[in-house]
Amino acid sequence: MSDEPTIVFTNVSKWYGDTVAVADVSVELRPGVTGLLGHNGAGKSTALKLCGGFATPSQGSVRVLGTEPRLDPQAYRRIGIVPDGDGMWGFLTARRLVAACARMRGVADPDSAAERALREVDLLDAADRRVAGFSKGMRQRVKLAQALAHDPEVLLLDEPLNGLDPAQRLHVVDLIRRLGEEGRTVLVSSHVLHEVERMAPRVVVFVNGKLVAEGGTTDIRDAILDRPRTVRIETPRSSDLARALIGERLVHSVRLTDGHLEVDTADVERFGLRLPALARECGATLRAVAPLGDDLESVYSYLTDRARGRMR
Amino acid sequence: MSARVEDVRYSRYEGELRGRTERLGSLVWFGARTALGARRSWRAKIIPFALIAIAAFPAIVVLGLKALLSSRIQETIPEILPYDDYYGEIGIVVMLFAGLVGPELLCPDRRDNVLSLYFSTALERHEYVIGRIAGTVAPMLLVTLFPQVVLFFGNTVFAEEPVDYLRDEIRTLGAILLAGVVLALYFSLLSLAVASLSERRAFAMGGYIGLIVLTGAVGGSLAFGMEVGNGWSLLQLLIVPISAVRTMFDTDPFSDPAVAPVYYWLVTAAVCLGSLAVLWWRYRGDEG
Amino acid sequence: MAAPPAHDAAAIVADGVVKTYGSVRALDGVTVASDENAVGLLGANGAGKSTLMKALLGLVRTDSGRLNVLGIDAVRGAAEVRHRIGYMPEHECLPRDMAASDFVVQLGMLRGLPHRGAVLRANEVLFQVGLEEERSRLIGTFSTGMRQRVKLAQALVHSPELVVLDEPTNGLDPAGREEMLVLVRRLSTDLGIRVLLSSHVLEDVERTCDAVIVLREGKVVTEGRIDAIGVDAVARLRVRVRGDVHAFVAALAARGISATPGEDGLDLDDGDDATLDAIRDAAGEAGVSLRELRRAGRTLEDAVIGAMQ
Repeated sequence: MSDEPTIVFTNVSKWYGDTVAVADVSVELRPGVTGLLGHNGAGKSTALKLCGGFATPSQGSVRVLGTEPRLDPQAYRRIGIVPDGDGMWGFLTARRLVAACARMRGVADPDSAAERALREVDLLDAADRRVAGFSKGMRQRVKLAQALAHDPEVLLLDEPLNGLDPAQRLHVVDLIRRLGEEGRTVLVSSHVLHEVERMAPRVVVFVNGKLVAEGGTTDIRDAILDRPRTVRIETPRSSDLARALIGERLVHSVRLTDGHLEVDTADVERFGLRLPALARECGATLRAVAPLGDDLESVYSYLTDRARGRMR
Repeated sequence: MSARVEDVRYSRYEGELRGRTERLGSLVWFGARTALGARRSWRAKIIPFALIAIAAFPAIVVLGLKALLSSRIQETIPEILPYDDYYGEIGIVVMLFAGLVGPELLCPDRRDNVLSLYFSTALERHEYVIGRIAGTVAPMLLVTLFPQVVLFFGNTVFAEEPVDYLRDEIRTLGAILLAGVVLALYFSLLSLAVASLSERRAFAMGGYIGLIVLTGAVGGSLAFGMEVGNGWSLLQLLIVPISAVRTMFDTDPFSDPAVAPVYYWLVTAAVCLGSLAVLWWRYRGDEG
Repeated sequence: MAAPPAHDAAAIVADGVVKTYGSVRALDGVTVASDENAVGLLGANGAGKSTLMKALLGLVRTDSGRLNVLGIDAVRGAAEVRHRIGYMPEHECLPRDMAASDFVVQLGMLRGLPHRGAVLRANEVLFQVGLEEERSRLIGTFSTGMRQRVKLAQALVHSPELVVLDEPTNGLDPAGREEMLVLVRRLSTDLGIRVLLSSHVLEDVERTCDAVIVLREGKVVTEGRIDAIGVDAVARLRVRVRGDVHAFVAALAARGISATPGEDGLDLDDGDDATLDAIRDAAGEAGVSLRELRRAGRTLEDAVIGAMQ
C-alpha cells in the first residue's frame, strides 16, 4: 500500500447561495479510520458529499483515489457511502437491494457479495423481507451493507450508528475499526464522541465551516499548549499531598472535593514524574490518578469554544 | 440589613385541573382563533376577514339604504333582500370560508405529526375531532348567521312598527338561526372531511372546491342541460343545503321546484353524516 | 415553594405484564419494581421497550398482568396517569407554524391548566430548558437542539411527577447532547421530577440515570442500580505511564506484581493499599511519568450488552 493520501482537499470552499458550508479547508486523509466531528452545520455533511462526488467545490479541489470523484464514474466503484437520509427502494428485499447496488458498481458476483455484506451487518435472517417494512435500525444496516458489498477502498459514513441498539452499535464500531485496519480509508461522521474514540485513532474537527484540528486525540490534546491539564487524584492524605505539590510548584491550582484532589498543571509530564516520589514522602496512597479533559469529548468542546474565542 | 433569597426551582402548578369541557373548550377556542389568523401575519388574517366583510356586505348595504331613505320616504320600503335570498347571494363566500378554515385546522396537525403528541398526552381521538368541528363551525357562523341576524335586527329597527315586526317575524328569526347553524355545520363537515384526507392545505382546499364544482357541473348538466331528470340536481353540493334552508322561509328554492323539499334535507343530512363517517374513519386510530 | 415534591409511591411496578400483537408477544411477562428517581430503559430493537413505555403511558392496553405507575393502575387509571406523567416522544411532533410559547401554553390548557396557569408554567418550563429568549419564535425556525428542548418543555408544562423520555439526544451534536444530558440529570437531582429514559446510547443512561431496567424478548433480564452493577466482579487496575515502560514493568515484577500490556496501558490485578503503594514506588524508581491509574471493573456496558442479546 503506497503512502499517498487517499483523499486530498486543497483549499476547498463550498458555497450554497449566500451560505458558506466549507471555508478554505486543506487536509489529507490516509488509510485507516478518521472521525469527522463538528456541530450541526459545521460542514461535515458537505465534506462527505464533496468526497463522494455529490457536490463540486466552489473553490479548490477534492481528489479521491487520485481523481476528482465527480468526473470519474469509475470512482464510484471504489467508494462506499452511507448517506444521512433515507431514500431506499422500499419494494425490494434487502438482499435484492444490496445485490442491485453491488451490480451497479461492477461487482462480478453480486449475489454472494450481498450475502457477505448482509452477514457482516447481521441481517441475514431478514434478508428476504422487503425494506419498506424494516425498522430504523434495520434500514441503517441495509445502508451499511450496500456500502460494503462492492468491497470499496474508501468508505464515507454519515452517522452510521443512527437507530442501532447498544449491542448493534458495539458490533458496528468493531466492524468499522476492522475495516480501517484492513487498509481502507474510512471517514466516519458521528456525534457520539466516545464511540468515535473507539473506532477512529484520528479525527478531523470542523467548526463553522473551517478545519480547526486534525490528528490523534492525545496528539491534538498535546498540541493545544495554551490550556493547563487537570488531574484528579484519589488519596486519603489529600491535604498533605496538595501541600507538597504546591510546594514544588508542580501545580498552580488545587481543589479539594469530597475525598479527592483536583489539580491544574502546566506541565503534565513533569507532574507525572514527581508525583510518585512526593506521594511516597507524604505517605499518601494513590488510589486513582485520572487525567480530566483528555478524552475526545473535552478536547472537542474545548476546540469549539476556542474557535468562538471563549477560553476556559 | 436583611435579605431574602427565594428558591423557585420547585415551582409547580398546584391547582385543580379543569374538566373535559373546559379542555375541549380551549381546543375550540384555539381552533377558531387560528382560523381567523390570530398570532400570524396580516396575510393570514386578511382573507377570512375579507370573506366575512363580503358576507356582511349585503346586510350593510340594505341597512344603510334604509337608514338613508327611511327619514325621507314615509312608505314602507319593499324588501330588497329577502332573507332566503341572502344565502343564495353569499353561497360562494360560505363555501370558500369553509374551504379555508377546514384545512387550516386539520392539515398542519397531520403534516407535522402533532396528532401523535395530542393523542398520547392530552386528548382522546373523538375529543379532537369534536373540538375541530366546533372550532370550524364557530367562525363559520360569522358568515352564515351573523350577517343575517344583523339584517334582521336592522330591519326590525327600521320597520314602521318594530315591535309588531318582531312579533310577526319571530318565526323568521328562528329560521335564520337554524339555517345559519345548518349551513355552518354542512360546509364545515364537508370541508373537514376532505381536509382529513390530506396533509397539505392547498390540496385539501383544492379538493374541496373541486368536488363542489364538479358535482355542481355534473348535477346541473344532467338535470337541466340534458334534462335526464330533475333528481340529478341533488348532486349539486353547493346548491342543495341552501335550497334546503330556504324551504324554511316559505318560498320556493330557486333552482328546481320540481324536486320536493324533503329531498334537499335528506341530501343535506346525508352529506353531513357521510362527512362525519369520513372523519371517524380517518381519526379512528388502530392501537390496542 | 422551596422543597422538592415528596415521592410517596413507587415509580413503576409491573407484575407479569403481557401484551400480544397478533402472533408476537411484545411483552412476555414483565415483572419489575423500581423506586429510583431516574431509571434507564434498555433493550435491543424489538425487545419490548416502546411497548412497555406505551403501556406505562396508558396508550396501549395490556392483555394481562398488573402495571402500576406512580401507584396508579396504568390500564384503568390511564386518564389520571396522563395527568401525572409527561412524555417526550422520539419522533417529530412539533407544529412548524406556531411560536414555542403558544404551543406549550396550548398543550398546558389541553391538559387542564387554566389560561393564566398555563402561561405561567409555559414561561417557567421554557426557562428551565433554556429557551426563554427564543420562545416567541416559530418552531419551524428552530434547530434540532431547540426542537428537542421544546419537546421536553411540553412534557413538563403540567408539572408531572414523572417524565418519560424517548431518545432525547437524537440528532443532537456533541454540544447539544451535553446540554440535554445535563438538563435531564437536573430533572431528577435538582427539580424533583422522576425520569424514565429510553436510549440506545449507554453513555446517556450512565450520565442521567441511577438504575436500569434491561429488556430482552419481552422480559426483564437485568435491573438494578448502576453503581451496584459489576461490584461483585473481579476488578482490574489500569496504569498508563510515559517513559521507560520496560523499567517500570521490571520494577513491578521485582515487587511481585505482574503487569500485562492492555488496550490502553498496563493491566494489573487489583489489590489493597499496599499493592497501590508498591505500584507508586515502582513508578518512582523507574523514573516514568505516572499518567493514569484507575480501577477498570465491569462497566454498565459489559453488564448490559451481554444481557440484551
